[in-house]
Amino acid sequence: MGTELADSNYFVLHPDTSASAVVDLAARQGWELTADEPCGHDKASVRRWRVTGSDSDVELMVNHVGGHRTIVAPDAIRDRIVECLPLWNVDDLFEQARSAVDPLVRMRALRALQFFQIAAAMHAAPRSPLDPEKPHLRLIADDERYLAAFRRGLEDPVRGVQRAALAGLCLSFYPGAQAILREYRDRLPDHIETIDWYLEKGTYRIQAKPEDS
Amino acid sequence: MLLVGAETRQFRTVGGNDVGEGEQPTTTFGSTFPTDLPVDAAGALLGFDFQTIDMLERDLAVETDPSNALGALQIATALAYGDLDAFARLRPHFRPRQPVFRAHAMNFLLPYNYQYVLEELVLTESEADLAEQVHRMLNDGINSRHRDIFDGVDDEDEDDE
Repeated sequence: MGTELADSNYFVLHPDTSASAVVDLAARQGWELTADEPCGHDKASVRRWRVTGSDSDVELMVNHVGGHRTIVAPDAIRDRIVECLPLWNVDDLFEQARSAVDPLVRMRALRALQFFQIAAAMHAAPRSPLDPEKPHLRLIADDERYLAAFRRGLEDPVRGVQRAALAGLCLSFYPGAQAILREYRDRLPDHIETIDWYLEKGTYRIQAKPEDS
Repeated sequence: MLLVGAETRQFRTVGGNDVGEGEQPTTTFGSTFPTDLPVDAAGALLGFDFQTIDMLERDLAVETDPSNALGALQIATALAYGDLDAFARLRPHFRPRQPVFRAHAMNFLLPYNYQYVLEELVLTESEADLAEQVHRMLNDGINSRHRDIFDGVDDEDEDDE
């Protein structure tokens, strides 16, 4: 669940808020826990609840690599979630990445956006055209909001912010990310090997599902 | 009605254990285990001194010996794996003390892929050499590899011969 939802259905918990706030909310609301998957070395843990009286699920992902706790809430439950929990949405994260004075906030925002961009691309995929040369793959149009945020991050004087932005571009489904990597390659001498590897590999692609057509 | 339950477990050695390995627990605890009983089986029978993360946090709050503190922090980090809330309570223990302590503490993060913690710690790391080491490692990427902060660092105690 979750991958077909727009990035406006994704939120991050404020960093000083415990994940147990979500568990408590689920208990108060009487939601049924339907999945409880532990984390792996590079995989977030996932808890999923079925919202009472609906066919909607709420998902909590705790990412110990990126350090963020993400809530995925479908439209039917989104407003209630926003009222009950201290959350940032995708626009908050763009704003933080752009203008936060504290580099820690910029870095955290970009790390969360690395993940949000995947949700946005997966949401766009069913409505994206097929690649004429590889018809089993979708042609995903660039989302300039993400690319601009990551590009700006590469210009950041703080190395951790740069790395967060670079990871966003390397892991992107947007073809425009490759052009930015190419443009910045020689200006980021610490990352040439990484950038070359991702340029060689090419943009990540999304497969066309039969049910989309 | 009172129900009473009991459980019996039989431990049997299957060979391959050095004879004499069990002598130490036998001597120490005055027990009568066979001397070829594996020490972990003896430990299970005796009852290990299990510690929880709460107990380790309390130890860390008062521990002044750096080696003991590092030991407690390493175990607490393992116990907190995957639980960002539990790990957040340990974060202050990665900060103070000497650079060598911080280097060891940061090393504990690598097997658990706590990339974000290293990124956040290095933001305020005051020791330039240590910060540079961590930056180099983060540039290479720690994901899917169990790196060591001390990789490539000359060990002063190492015999060069």
